[in-house]
Formats: sequence, C-alpha cells, structure tokens
Amino acid sequence: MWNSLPEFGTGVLCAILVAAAYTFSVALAAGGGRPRLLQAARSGAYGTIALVGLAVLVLAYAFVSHDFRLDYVARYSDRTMSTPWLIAALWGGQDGSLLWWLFLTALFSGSCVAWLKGRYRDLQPYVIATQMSVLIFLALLMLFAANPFRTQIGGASPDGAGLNYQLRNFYMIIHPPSLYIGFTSAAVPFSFAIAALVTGRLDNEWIIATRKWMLFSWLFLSIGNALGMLWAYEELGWGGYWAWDPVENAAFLPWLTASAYVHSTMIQERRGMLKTWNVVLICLTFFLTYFGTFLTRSGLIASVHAFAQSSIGNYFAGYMILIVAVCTALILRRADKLRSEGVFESWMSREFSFLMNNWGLVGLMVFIALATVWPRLSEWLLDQKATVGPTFYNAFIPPVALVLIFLMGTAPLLGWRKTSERLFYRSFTVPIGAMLSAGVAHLVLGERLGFPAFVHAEPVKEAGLWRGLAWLQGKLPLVTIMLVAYNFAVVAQEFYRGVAARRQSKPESVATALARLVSKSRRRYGGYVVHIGIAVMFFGFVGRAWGVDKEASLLPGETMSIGEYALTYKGTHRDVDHEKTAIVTDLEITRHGAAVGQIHPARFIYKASPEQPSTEIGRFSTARNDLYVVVGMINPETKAASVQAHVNPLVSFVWAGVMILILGALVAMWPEPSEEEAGAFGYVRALGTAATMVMLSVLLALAPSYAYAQQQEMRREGVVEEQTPREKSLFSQLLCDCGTCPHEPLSTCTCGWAHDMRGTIRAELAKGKSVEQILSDYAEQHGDDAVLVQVDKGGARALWALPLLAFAAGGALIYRFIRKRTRQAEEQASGDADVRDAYDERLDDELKDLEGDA
Amino acid sequence: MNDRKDDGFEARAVAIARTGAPAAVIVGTAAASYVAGPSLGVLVLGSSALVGAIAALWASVRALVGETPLAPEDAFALGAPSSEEEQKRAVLRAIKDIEFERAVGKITDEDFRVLLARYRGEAKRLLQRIDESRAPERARAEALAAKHLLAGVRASADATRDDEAEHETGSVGAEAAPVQAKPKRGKRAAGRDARNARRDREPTRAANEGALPDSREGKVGPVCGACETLNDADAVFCKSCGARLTTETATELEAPRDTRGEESTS
Repeated sequence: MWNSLPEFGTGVLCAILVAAAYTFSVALAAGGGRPRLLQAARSGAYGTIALVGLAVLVLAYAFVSHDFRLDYVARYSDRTMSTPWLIAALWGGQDGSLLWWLFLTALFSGSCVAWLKGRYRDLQPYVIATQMSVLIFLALLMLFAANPFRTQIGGASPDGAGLNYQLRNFYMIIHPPSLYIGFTSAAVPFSFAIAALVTGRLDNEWIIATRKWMLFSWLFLSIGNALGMLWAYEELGWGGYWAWDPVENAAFLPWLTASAYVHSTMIQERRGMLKTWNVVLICLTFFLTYFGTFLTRSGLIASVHAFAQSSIGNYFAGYMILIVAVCTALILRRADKLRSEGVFESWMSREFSFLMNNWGLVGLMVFIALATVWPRLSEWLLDQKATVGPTFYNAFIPPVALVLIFLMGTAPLLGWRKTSERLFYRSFTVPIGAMLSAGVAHLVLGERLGFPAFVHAEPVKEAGLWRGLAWLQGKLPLVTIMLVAYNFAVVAQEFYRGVAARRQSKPESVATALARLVSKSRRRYGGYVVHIGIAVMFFGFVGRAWGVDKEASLLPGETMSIGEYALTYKGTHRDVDHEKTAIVTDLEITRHGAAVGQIHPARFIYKASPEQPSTEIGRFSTARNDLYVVVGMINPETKAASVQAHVNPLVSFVWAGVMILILGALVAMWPEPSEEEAGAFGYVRALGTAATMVMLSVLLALAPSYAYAQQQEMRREGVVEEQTPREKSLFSQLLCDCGTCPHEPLSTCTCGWAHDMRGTIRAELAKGKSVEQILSDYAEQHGDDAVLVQVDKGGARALWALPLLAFAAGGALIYRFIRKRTRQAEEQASGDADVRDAYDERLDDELKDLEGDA
Repeated sequence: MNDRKDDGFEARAVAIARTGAPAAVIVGTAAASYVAGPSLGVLVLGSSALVGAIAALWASVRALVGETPLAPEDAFALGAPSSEEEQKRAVLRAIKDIEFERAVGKITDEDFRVLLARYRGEAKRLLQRIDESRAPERARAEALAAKHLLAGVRASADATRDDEAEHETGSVGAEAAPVQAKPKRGKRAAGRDARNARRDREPTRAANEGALPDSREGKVGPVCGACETLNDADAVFCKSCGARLTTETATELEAPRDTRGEESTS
C-alpha cells in the first residue's frame, strides 16, 4: 500500500474537497431552520477536519520515513535531519505551509463548531458554510497548484536537499506558525460576519459572538509580528528589527485592521453605531490575511525574504475578488439594517476618539498597502520602475503612529457621549502634568544621560516637505518620551480611580480591590495593560534615534570604539562539526573602560552549501542598549576581519513591551466560566489558554539566540570611519546593485561592492556634489528602482501624494459620517424606562446576580 | 424492538468511543513511537484520523437521512445560552460598566441617566424576547407536568395529587407568567429552567399538536415504553409501534426521536 503513498495523499486532498463541498451544501440547506440538517453539517465539518488532519499526518509520515519520491520532501529534508526538524520542515516550503494553513483553518473551524453547539442557531449554518468555503478554496489550490504530494519527475533521489539553514532557527520554527494562527483564526469572525449579513441579524449578536475570537486572532498576529521582528534582528544581521519589507508589511496590515476592530466594536456595543464599519473591518481583516499571502507567494513584489514564486498568485487573486464581491453584495443588500442607532454628540467623547483611532489605523493600513504595491503599480500605470524602502516609511509613519499613541492614552479619559468641562479637567490634569514633567526632565537630563531630547535628522531631499519632515524627526525623541509618560500616567490613574471607587463602596484592602477590579472588568483592564505594553514598545523604538553604527577592518590586537564600548579583536578559531565549519571571532568588550566580557560573532560554512556562508551575530545586551556585532570577510592570511558594529539603545524595551502586551491580551481574553460550562470545564479551558499564552511568552523571552545572519561573500579593505548624518541619510536611499546580495540599502549592506560604492559616493560628496545630483546619477547608472526614495519626476510624484490622500480620504469620510449622524435624532428608550414594570424588577435582580457572580 | 436495542448499543458505543478513543489514540501513538520509532507513531495517528473522518462523515449521512435521533441541543436548543441570553448579559455588563464609570467620575449624572435608560430599555426588550422564545418550552413543560400528574399518578389519592399539582404548577406557572409572579430570575434561574425543561422534554409534535390541549382537559394518555410515542388516554396498544401499553411502560418519558414531520423517515 505504501508504494502508492503519494497517490494516497492526493486522494486525501480530493476527499477533503468532496467532504467540504458536501458539508457546505448541507449547512446551506440547514439555513432554513432544519435541526437535522444542521446536525449533519456539524458531523460533516468534523469529518472534513479529520481528513485535513490525515493529510498533514500523511505528509509528516513521508518526512519521517524519508520518502524522497515526494518532490516536497526531497526539497526540504535530508537523512541527517532529526525528527523535530523533519516536522518543522512541514511548513518550511510553500506547498507544505499551505497545507499547514489548511490544517490550522480546519482546526479553528472545528473549535468553532464545537463551541457553537446549541448557540447562535440562526447564524450557525452560515458560519459553518463560510468556513467550509474557505477549506474548499484551499483544497482546490493544493490540488491544482501546490500539491505537496507531487512526485519528482526523475523518481526518488537517494537523499534530499535539506532544509535551508536560514530556516533552521528557533524563531523560524515558531514565527510562521504563530502568524498562521493569527491569519487563520481571522476566518472565524469573518464567517460570523457573513452569517450575520446573510440572515440580517446585524445587531450586537455577532459582535458578542466574535469578540474573543477576534482578540485571539489579534493576539497571535501580535505575537507573530513580534517573533518576526526578533527573527529579523537575530537572523538578517543588519542591526535592526523592522525594515518595512513587503513580507513584514503583509503580516502587519491585518494587525492594523484587527486593532481598529477591537476598538470600534465597543462603539457598536455601547452606542449602536458603526455597524457597517465593523462589518467592513472584519471582512477587510480576512481579506488582508489572503492579500498578505498573495503578496508573499505570488512574486508580485520583490522582497528580501520572499517565498518561492509560483502560479498560486492567480488563485489567490481570484479568491480575493470573490471575497470582495460577496462582501460588497451582502453589505449593500443589508444597508438598511446596518444603519446606526446613535449619534455623535461631542468631539470630546470616547466614541469620537475611537473613531479617530480607527482613522489612524486604517489610514496607516491603506498607506502601507499602497506603498507596498507601489513598485508594481508604478510599472503598470507609469511604465516606470520603482522601489519603496524604509526611508519613505520612516519619514511618514512615526508622526502618524505618535498621534495614535496620543489617542490611545486619551480615549480612556473621555466619557461616552460627551465629557463635561469639570470632568475633563479632573481626568486630564494628572496625565498632562506627567507628560509635561517627563518632557522637562528629558530636556534637562537627556543630554547628560546620553539620550538627548533632540537629534539631528538630515532631510532626504531639499524640498520643503522633506525639510519639514526632517525637522519633525529631530523632535520625535522628546515627543515620544512625553507620550509614553502620558500613557503610563493615564493607566496608573485609571487603576487608582478604580481601586479608590471600590474601596469607597466596600471595605477592601488595596490588593483585594485591585484583584477584584481587574477580574470584574477583564476586557477594560486587560486593554489598559496592552496599552502599557505598546507604550513600552515605543520607548524601545525611539532608542533607534540614538543608535550608533560603525564598521571597521581590524587586525588581531586592534581595537575599535563605538559609543561607550571598545571592541578588541583577539583573533579567530575554527569549530568543526558534522554539518559545518564555523570560523569564530573572539572580541573582547570593555564598557566605559571596564572589561565586561566577550562575544563571538562567526561565519558558518555548511558542507551542504559551502558557496553560501552565513554569519552568526554577536550580541551583548543590557537594559540600556545592545551591542550588536556582525563579522564579514576574514582574511585567511592576515586574519583581518571586517567588523560591523551597532549600538542599539533601549532595544530590550521592545521585547519587554511585547511581553506586557501578551499579558494584557491574556487578561482581556481570560474566559468567564459560565454555569452552562459546568464550572470545571470553564476553568480547564481558562487554564489551557493561560498555559498556552504563558508558554509562548516564556519561549519568546528565553529562546536561545542561536541565529544565523545570511550574508554573501564579501570583500573589504581599509578602515571605514563613522558615517556623517548626511552620508547615512544618502546611503539609506540607495540600493546595493552588486547582483549577488539581496539588494539591501547601502547603509546596511555589508558586501564589498556596497563598501566600494560608499567610498565613491563619499568622495563625490567631498567634491561638493549635491545629494540630489548623486541620487539622480545613481538612478541613471543603476536604474530608477535602485533608488529607494523616488526621484521626484513625472508620475512618480504620485507616491508622495499617497500618504496625504490616504489620510485626507479617511478624514473626509469621518467628517461626512459625523455630520450625517449629528443631524439625525437619537432614538432613545428613556420613555420606556421611566415607567417601571415587572421587567425592571427582574432586571434589578439580574444585575444583583451579576454583581455576585463577578 | 430490535432497532431499539441496536440504538441503545450504538449510543453506548458512541459514548465509550468519545471518552475512550482519544486516550487509546494517545497511548497507541506513544507505544508505537517508543517501540518502532516516530514513523509508526505518525501512522497510528493517521489511521485514527482516518477512522475518525469515516465515523464523522458516516454520522453526518445518517443524520441527514434521519437514521439517528436528533441531538438534544439541536432539538431544543438547550444546554447553551440563546443569543438573546448572551446579548442580555452583554447589556447587563454595559450597565455595570457605566455605573462603574459614574463611580470613578468619568461620566456626568445626566449622561449616566440617558445611557442607563437606553441600556435598560434594550435589556427589557431582550427579556421579553427570551420569554417569547421560551413560551413553547414552557407550554410543553406545563403539559408534561399536567400529564405526569394525570396519567402517571392517576391512581393516587386526590389529596396527594392536589399537593403535587400545586407544587408543579406553581413552578411552571410562574415561568409561564414571570412578569406577574416571579421577579427573581437570575442566570442561575435561567440555567435551572434549562435543566428542568431538558429533564421534562417530550416529543415536540405531540406537545405542539395534541398534548397541550389534551392535558388541560385531563385526557393525556400513556407514553409507549418501546417507541416513546404519546398515545391517547384510552389507548390499549401504541398507535405507532403496536406494543401493548402497560402501566410499567407508560410512566417513563424519554427524549424525542424526531421532532419534525418533514424530516421523519419512518
């Protein structure tokens, strides 16, 4: 039988398709309120999910039994790999990762169906049908475009090629699955939204049903993005953690819309407004999970770490068009039921600040999405090659992000409907005071502590817009520190006021009051903790403004200094094991003149791929900063080593912020055991969730920093002095065009060609050539797409209009919406409430019960 | 009768499989991996997934053609809160939330009053909807209680029957008219309702079509012990399966086999 394992695997994929299609039909037929069909649909869903599990296990069996007849197994494994790596290879390539995607989607469908049971009986058939439609698409995709059970044309090879060594990294084992969990779990809220649209039950029912599912999805998108940052920091070896690469952007886009949704949903719950917007956000989040995959897999956009390119892009494009068509048609059909009930009464209200926060988040999403696909748009529409890189994003995004941080702190201080003058002063005095105090302290002490309030930022171009942006960039450290302090003060005040209010009404100790306060309002206080996490992350982000980069070629015994550190090159030694030869560099570190230890950045030469040596970074971390060192070429005769060193201040706060964010999300998601869950199961579920989250957090924190920085062969000569801000700005706009390295900016690329080019450009600057002229000449010599910041000519100017257009369009929509809303009369239920009836007594009793339960 | 026995055996087998199968799979996988390496472990897991898939799809087809009884949660939507219940809880939480916001001084008294009125109105509407949606179940429960009293305890003394009737109709009647007589109905009370109704459930069609008026007139007949059909008061043989109706078989009530005429296959 095992002679036909590849056929069996393909057969299972066919069975998945048939079972999912059967369940889809039965679920749709159950929509008319037929319990028997609904029961059949549920069983069908379980059967389909079991088949998906079987497909994954068949592939896993092929891996562990080294069945090299399968092309996928031969490409991503070899006989030397241990079982854990063989299992990880399941998602190491495109076909397997799509199967893994299918598996996770099926798993969430199963969890959702089990959770639904007798709940939401009107929505349930369409929820199941929507989820099955997703499985049908993925099964079709795998059968016709990405079948992991495809056999090799030339028959089984004696051994496989092995998993790419760049992927044999701890973070690469858990980063993609975590992102996939975030992506795939977004299908559950989406299916509820579709069910609500189909049935017309568009009140708060589906919002309540999807609340925790969406939080779950958001949390895993956050964890996945954070792990991606860690991977880039540890692996790519350029000293940073976020490069605005298309693949990174693709994972970031759904996070933005999911963040917008978890806020705007509160407006619907509390005020009955933004019903259409919430449906749109859910559909958009789901759409973006596929859009991201489409970008990553289709080869549409060139990326430093893009997946293998294939024809699956067409399938994804077709599916995305289908999603848009179905969602649009359903929303238009239900337009009458999606009308808001309430009105905006004041600019000083929580709903308005949430709306502004949505504007910022969705505006950012549109901006990043457009900028990400700009190279392709430019080629199609303008017949002009273009590349958009970090310089562009870094110029526009930080100011918008800081406005969002301000709103993040402001929203909790405002009341629903409106905030009176008295309450405004009462709420804002302490946070504003804290913000101003932090600003003054930073101005006075910052310079002395090595973190000046203002930094010099070189304008990217001479034009007015760029000068303005550079001026703003120079002030960002002070603004960020002030806003971080503001957010801390807001959250501290919220906790203080909550505890004080409890202690006024009940004789409780501070600790008891705090514990009960949080347990009674998990979502609110969990959200506050998430805010603190984000504020701490921003504290870490701003550290980059004080970063120092330096590169040098050192002979044994020579020393280079960078910031408060001095690095003495002691020499190299070789470590050989069964898979690689490691050339390890010994560097002694002194900090403020005192020896603090050694780091050992290295170059790994694998036996399987000696032509592609990789580099292991060396890192010395403290709370204040990271000393991050990469070693390039080592001359075998003179032992001269090319050393690239970075001092990255406050980086550890980024990772600490992620931990706090996870903790906060955990508090917000903590299940509320209900009587129907028979007590024990509720607690078991709660413990399970908590254990999973804590495990992930610990993994994140304690993960071994065993990483490889992929680098190409480099040739370096001489000593390079620290770059001036002007050089640094210019180098960050020019892409390396050596033809072998992955087209990194000259400011971070460590190949010999980039090194030489930096020298040439430095010489041109010294001769008095203007930045504009150098950019123009570089574009002429190496093509327009070798310049990250577009040459300001012709249709390329449209790129500069994108950010403004994205936000202006959002602003216009909000203005129109508010104008329309405020003109309408609010439908109030006060008339009913004034007359007490027997329901009021029941209501009072239930409120007392709720008090007792909490 | 044989079908009944088969069904009972199947139900027991399913119950055992649900609890025992996961444990058996885990133990089997661990043992196979230990004895013959991870390949066999994966194979055991894969075989279990295949068996699970076949069983689930088979169950689905059987449910589709009406060979299996409806699950209680599908028959009566019991065992889980209705969407109105969940919405009501969310509104109650919202009320607690604005009370909290007023306590910490985030909203003015005027805003509090307006918001409270809105939420209370919404909560009352939901309570009304919950009552309306439960009306058929309450009617069934009422019918059951009456039938139980009349048919099952027909031979009992009048005094005893009166006492029981007072007790039963007291609880059920209060549910039927909660606004007038039963102010205290918290989450626990709702859960109690569900449990009571689940315990006392009877064939839906019978409840909707015949049992309710009959019971009110005191003409409820015995329930067949073999097929659980509700029969007329004067019936000697079951109108469905033909089994003789005895006092032993007529006292116990079971969950319905099929509640919808259009989906019945018999």
